[in-house]
Amino acid sequence: MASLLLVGTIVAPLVSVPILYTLGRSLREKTGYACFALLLIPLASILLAAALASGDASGSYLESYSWAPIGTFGLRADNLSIPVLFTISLLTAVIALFSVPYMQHKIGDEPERYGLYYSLYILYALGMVGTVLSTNLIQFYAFFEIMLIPSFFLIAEWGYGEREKISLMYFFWTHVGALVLLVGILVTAYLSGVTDMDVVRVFFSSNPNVVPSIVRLGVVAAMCFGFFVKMAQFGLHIWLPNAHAEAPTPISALLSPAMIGIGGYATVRIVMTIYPDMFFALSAFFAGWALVTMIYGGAMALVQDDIKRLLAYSSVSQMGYILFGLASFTQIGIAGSMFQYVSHGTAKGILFIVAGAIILQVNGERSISKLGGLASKMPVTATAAFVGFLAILGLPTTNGFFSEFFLFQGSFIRAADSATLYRLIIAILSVIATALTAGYSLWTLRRIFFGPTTEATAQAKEAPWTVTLPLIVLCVVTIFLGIYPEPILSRLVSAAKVVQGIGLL
Amino acid sequence: MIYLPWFIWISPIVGALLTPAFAVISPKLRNWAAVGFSLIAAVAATVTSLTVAAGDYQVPWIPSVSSPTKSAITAGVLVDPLSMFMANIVAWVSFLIMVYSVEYMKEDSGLTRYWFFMNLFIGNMLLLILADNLLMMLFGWEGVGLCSYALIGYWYKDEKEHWVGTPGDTALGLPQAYSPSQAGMKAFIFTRIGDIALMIAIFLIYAYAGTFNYLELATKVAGSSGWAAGLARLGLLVPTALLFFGGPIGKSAQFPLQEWLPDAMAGPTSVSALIHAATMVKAGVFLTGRMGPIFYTALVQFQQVFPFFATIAWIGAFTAFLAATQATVAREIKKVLAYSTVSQIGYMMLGLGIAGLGANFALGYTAGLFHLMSHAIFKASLFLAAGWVIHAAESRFMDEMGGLAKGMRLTAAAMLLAGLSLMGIPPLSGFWTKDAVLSASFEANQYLLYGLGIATVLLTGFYTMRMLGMTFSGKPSAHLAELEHEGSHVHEARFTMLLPYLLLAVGSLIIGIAFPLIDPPLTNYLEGTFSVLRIAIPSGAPPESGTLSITLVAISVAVALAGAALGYIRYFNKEHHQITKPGGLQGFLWNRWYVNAIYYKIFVNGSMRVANGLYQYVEKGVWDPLNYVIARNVVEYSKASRQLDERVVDQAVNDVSTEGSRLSNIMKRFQTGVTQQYVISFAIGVLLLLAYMIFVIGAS
Repeated sequence: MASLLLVGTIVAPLVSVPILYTLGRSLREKTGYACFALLLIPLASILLAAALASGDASGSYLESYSWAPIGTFGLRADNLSIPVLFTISLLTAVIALFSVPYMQHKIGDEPERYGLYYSLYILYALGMVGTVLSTNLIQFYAFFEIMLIPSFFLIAEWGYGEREKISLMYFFWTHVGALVLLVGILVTAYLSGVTDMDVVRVFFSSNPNVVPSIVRLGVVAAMCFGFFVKMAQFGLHIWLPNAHAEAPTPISALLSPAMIGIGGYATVRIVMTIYPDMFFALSAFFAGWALVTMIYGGAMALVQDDIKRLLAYSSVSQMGYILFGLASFTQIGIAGSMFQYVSHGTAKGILFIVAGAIILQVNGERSISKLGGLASKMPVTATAAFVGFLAILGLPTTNGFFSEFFLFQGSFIRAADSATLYRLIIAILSVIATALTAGYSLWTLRRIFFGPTTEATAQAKEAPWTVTLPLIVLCVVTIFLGIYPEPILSRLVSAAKVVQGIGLL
Repeated sequence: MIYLPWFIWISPIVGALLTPAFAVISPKLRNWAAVGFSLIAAVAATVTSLTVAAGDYQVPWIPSVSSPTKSAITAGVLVDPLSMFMANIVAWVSFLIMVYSVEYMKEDSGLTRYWFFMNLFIGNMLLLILADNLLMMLFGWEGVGLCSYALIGYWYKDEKEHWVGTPGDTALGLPQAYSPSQAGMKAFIFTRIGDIALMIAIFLIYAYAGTFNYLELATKVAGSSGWAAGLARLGLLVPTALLFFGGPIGKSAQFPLQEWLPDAMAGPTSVSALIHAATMVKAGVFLTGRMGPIFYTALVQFQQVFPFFATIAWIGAFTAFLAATQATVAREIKKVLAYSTVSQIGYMMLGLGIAGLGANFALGYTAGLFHLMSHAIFKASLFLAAGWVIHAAESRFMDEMGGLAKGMRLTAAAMLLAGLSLMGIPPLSGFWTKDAVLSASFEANQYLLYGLGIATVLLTGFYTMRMLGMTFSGKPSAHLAELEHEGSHVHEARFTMLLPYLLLAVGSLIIGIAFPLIDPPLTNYLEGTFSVLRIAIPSGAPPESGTLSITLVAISVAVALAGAALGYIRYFNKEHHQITKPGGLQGFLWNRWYVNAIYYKIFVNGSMRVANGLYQYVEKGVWDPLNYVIARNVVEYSKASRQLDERVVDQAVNDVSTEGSRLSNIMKRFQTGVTQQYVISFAIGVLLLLAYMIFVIGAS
């Protein structure tokens, strides 16, 4: 079984860390090209694994290695993880390319610092891929933390504003979240005696009454706390706007599109798979919470003047969408939510790169009120921003339409089945809340790209190919999946069927 | 042949995608290729309607969602009388407008973008008409909205000459003149509000029906296990139908979502003609026509037909009246036409609503759809002619025109013909179709609705004559005299521009003359829609659109003539003075009954205020300070143990770090003690893991 394909997605970046670090001094900003090339390895491996998985009856491709005494160190590409892995590996690769001009602008003439940036960058990519591939709870936790460390240093080193304080708060919140999650994981492991997710799941489904439900509820609450901090649900979101706005833009373009949504993925992979009944018990509450997050994030985005902060709040709102679909606890809703991870990944990836392009080309300007008329100056960037915002507001022929459509459809199916007024009202309110998204998206587009040029933008020029190529690639993916979502959606619908529970529709 | 129906909507989209490629070769090729693709669509539509059997031409799309209660989602083109009727109107009118565009837009610089969005629009419009299911329909529906947004804001640099409205005009202290980019955004958001209601309805229907396909929805609607019964059990049937109608209200600019359309006139006139008069704004009427019979069948089982169809009829009649009053005081020629479009669509909605209120469903149904056809033709003609008028007069304001007929006889004739059709003067097509709507409302015993309709006829006669008088008759305005003085003479349009609107105006006349002959077969044809859906629709009385009662005809013609006479007396052969903002009732109409301003006060300013308040008092007031307190405590704590940090950790790091390593430098930067935090918090994790290994794994 072990054909070293997926382990390569972990080992190749790991081996690359010292290589990139040494190369940095001589290659300087060009280290980014090497980093890009190296990150094509995980992307290719994952696509290959996806192809192998489609040939398999269970739709999954698994590599497992003995990891005594903890259990098995497994790496799995299956219906649930493949879309997420694809998004992460695509984003980390193209954003490595985007890092080239951006970090040249940010680092300037300090050759020794390029190596550090790219080695931390690739370590960060590794952490995310590893987290998603994990089949063991302890392994998952380890990667979950590995993902945190490099991102923390990246923000602290190359961030904007009060970057030390901001990175500290980023670290503090997500780490506290992770520790609470760890408690949940350890209690689960204690109760079941094992840590391999599959074995744990079988244990709980075949011994449903061995653990009192109040304990299971507590475990679910702990785990969800950990994941919802990552997903920045309302009340647990305060670290996010600062971190995403003040991180160096390529890192913002990974934090927001790729990393925080992993909280949603993990909620499905771990909480909903192992404790479906308890998640279902809390799902009505979660749906309401998610709705508040959607609306609150959208309202905050509406009043921001800093592009990156606006995008950060938009991400808070979008994470609300993801949790909302999961909380419907229906196949279509769960599939829609995980598809939303992909759509948000590509769309927000586009938008953060656009923000970076503007910072690069308009003398570091981030204030929307000082921008305007950029459509004629930066046509490719403007078109990409258009596509990105359309995907965020869920317009057809972007993948955002399908993901939002199905996650809302899921919540209506739940409302129809439960026949409760509460479920119906939050389902309706959630669709109404999309007006906020349309509002801030179109208004931002207009203020940045339309109207007359301003003092700041009069001399702007189109960004270099290292910026536009990533934008074009992500736009193509966005539109392709917006017309033909089946490659992603069919996997996710099958994955959602695996989540079993008394209430699943 | 099964691909031919697909060809109709795909060919303009292919044309759109190829536009940039043609642009590289030559601008001329790009322009005419774009026109060519729209012609292909029109021919394909006609050939399909003549040769292809009614049916659902499907391909797989999203099979994975299928389950015992849900069918696989397919993509398909539904060929039936309704879709063919619409597709032919849309495709041919679009083609003529594309021909007009070549000359009209020739001096513009962003033409690749123009042709791209025009063809994309035509493709999406045809897609929304031909789609066999609601999900695919939404692609077209949102697609046309997107193209509308992009084309209203075509002159996105917002130069002053492209604004719409009188500069400096305000209502309730809010500016009433819009830049193109702002008008585009406004249109998008307004229609989006309707779309939200539509989406909610679609979600609800799918939750019970498990399908989006029209034919399946029609077969699964009836009976105790049908989706209508499922919705009715929770009292959701009428609300769902009404929410569904929200989409058409937004798209077709009906009250209360009518406010976007007048400002959409900021786009090029060819765009206004195509999207905001002839085609897209009819999408709402079409969709109501598409789902109307299905909703009728759903509602009739539970005796709930009245609230739904009465709402449609009342919204239609009220909007017809509301917008017509506003047209009587407008200053810009395109705004007169825009208000008029809103008003005329109101008639169509009235017809479709009356369908469910009378004894004969088909009567109001076909009347509404026939009026859609005749309006598409005469209003396209009016807009295209107005485009030339604006160009020639170098002003969008009617008070800066006057006496133009001398320089452009044919344009004036076309506008007069189309205007007569709009007023409802026999024998033009507008007369027959509008009267069909009015007499259907009378025959359904809806006398109040009939009265509103008749009042609108009076206003229509008045504002049409006002527009024609101010533009074409009397002495040229000071503005025109100045132009003349500068040496630019008002002259007739070039042939490729003139031909489309002349053809459309003459078409309106020919259809009008032939109407008594074509009415019965066309009515029969459209009624075929019900048999394709396999649903029983009451058609108790024989279709009466052809045998109009003489009295009703006499009344409406008399009223139209009265309105026209008023307009003639007041506005023909007069001196032109600049229109300033009127007071009193006229001021009320000028300010659009203050609806626009009130919406802005409540929804735009209101939601900004709420969002700002949340930001100031919740985000900055509660969460940020909380975060700050935590941060401060963490930092304080770290400082207290900084000695440990320096002695142990830094020492250790320095010992370990080699020459090349810069990691220690990073560590040192965090003199606030982050390292300390880091180590401690990690230690907690490691200790927990160790404890787990010792006590759990070790014990087993």
